[in-house]
Amino acid sequence: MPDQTNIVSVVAEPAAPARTPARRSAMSYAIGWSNILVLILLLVIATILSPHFLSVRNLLNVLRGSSMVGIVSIGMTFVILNRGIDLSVGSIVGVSAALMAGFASDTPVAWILLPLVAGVVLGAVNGWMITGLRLQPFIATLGMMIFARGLVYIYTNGSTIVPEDPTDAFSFLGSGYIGMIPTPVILFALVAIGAALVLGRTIFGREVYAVGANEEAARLAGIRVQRNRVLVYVISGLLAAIAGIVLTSRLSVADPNGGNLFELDAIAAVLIGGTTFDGGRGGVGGTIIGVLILAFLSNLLNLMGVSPYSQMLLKGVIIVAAVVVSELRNR
Amino acid sequence: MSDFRDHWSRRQVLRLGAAGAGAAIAGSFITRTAWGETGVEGKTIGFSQSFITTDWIKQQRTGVLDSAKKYNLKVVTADANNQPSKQIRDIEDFVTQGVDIILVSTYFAEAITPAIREANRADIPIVVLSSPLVGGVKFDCHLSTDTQGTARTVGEYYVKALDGKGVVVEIDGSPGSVVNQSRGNGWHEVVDKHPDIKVVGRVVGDYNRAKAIQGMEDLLQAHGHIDAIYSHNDDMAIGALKAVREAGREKEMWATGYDGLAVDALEAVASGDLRATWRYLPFGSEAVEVAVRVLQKQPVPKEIAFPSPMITKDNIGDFFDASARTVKLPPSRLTF
Repeated sequence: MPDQTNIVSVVAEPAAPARTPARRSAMSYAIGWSNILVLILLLVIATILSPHFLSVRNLLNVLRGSSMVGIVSIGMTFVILNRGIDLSVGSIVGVSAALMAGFASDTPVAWILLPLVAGVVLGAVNGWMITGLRLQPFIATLGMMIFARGLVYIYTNGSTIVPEDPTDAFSFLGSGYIGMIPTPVILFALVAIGAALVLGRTIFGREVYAVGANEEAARLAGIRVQRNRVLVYVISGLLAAIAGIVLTSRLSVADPNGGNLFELDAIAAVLIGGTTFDGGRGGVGGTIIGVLILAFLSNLLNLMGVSPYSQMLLKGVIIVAAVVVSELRNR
Repeated sequence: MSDFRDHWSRRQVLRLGAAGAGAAIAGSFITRTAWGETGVEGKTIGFSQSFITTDWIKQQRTGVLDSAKKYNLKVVTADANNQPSKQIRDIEDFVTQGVDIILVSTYFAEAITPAIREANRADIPIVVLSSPLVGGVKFDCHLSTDTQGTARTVGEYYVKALDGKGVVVEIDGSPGSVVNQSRGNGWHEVVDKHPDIKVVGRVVGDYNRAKAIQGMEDLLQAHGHIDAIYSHNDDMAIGALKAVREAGREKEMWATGYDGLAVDALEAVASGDLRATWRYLPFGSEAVEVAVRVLQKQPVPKEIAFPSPMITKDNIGDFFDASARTVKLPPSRLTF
């Protein structure tokens, strides 16, 4: 189907605006790379302002701390590229975290597999509500957010689950190291690389962009839009479940409110990373930068002893500013 | 434990002017007929909670339901899912249903004022649990933990343990909650009088372990030497201590928490990892006993404040059954 590849490549183009060969001013280049410039600027400022910032331990700590929201954000990137939204990820993190703690005394197969299956199933239900019942993604996933949190409360009976004697393997995923790198950071990196390959190198990935950019055109090009939509929510659910596993492994307990508000952090990271709600534009690279900007910002402000209340002002401004800049870029 | 009992009795004697507290017998608070009836059997309690997801609030719920069964009262419960607007509707529903008395567990004490006014207009008695209501509304009894007083006691503990000198970091709960303000203000009232105790850093942990780990990692990075951590609950204290252990600095500092209700927190106290915690008592059964007395038209004190007992390695056995891994709840303390 030559038509399909044509349309797909046309709509997928804006994913890498900085590489378009058109003549561009220095300003537009700066805007095109604004996210990474902001991150670099932040790192430089942080190094100057705080003598404690630039140490291996600090950098690794920040990366580890942000890896759970980071993994969720990668899934959210798929969804937003697809012109959707997934408000249920925080609750799915909670479901997965609780299941893992609940099955801690079972075999690793149980406490890893069950949470993942739960994530996939809940994600698939999201996809079905959106394609089968034709619900708005916002509404479908809002419903799932409440429903899945209810599942967590029922399963945990509203209390923290404290596994009796967690094995070393159990805490390895969240608190262990491979070499000197914390395991969650490795997992985040693997998920990010995998996602980048899927989005950039597979037909499915191109279809995600195509459906997000113009659903009708994608349909006419022969893309199975419904299936693509469902898969995107399945991926989001699966990655949320992975984040839940890392969370429980890190904390060695599961709090019934675990993962609460992750959806907002993930959406913020994706938007700061330049993926827009219009769909079809952006990518995993930007999201990682978005995650890092938010994480290093809060790290720097803590290191400098800025009051937690004032920190929120700055974060709010940065989220809005990042979206304004990415709007400029897309003009 | 005995320490706390004595303290409690003294307070009650002062508050109520009642004599013979030492000879009190459990249950004497409730008036009964010769057949052991209270005369309020079959009446309905409307019990509204702001949320039902923490151990403390669940134990409060258990206390209310169990005690209500004991006195043959019906209970209608409502969970506001952490939303003040839902709690307002819940209480309005109780008024519509015509319950005999409302117990309201107040996390958003100010926000639910309109609903309390409505219950006042319908002349339904109200027993308030936790945060005080705003002025100008009527209620029959307010049961609370003396959070600020406890926080002052904790402040004194820090001053003594640090010998008036040291570097402390603070891990805040959720800004805006009354408990958070009291735990902050009460402690600072005492500690800030000692200029040699420096509170060098403060992060918001939202009562959440994951956030506390991250915040503590930053504090450890920023401060080369820390003597103690003041955490607004146990969960965050355990998270902070995890960050401290990972940085290999566990010999340098100690931490305390609040609540003393979760198994892993009590285990941490038993092992000595967590230096102390102050148990937040849920007073659910006490609330029902007050309700029975209100329904009997007997006088009740307007304010009853329970101080939080301190739990350390030395008295952990009174609060925690280590072999069964279960929390021990003290019996109702309305035995005056």
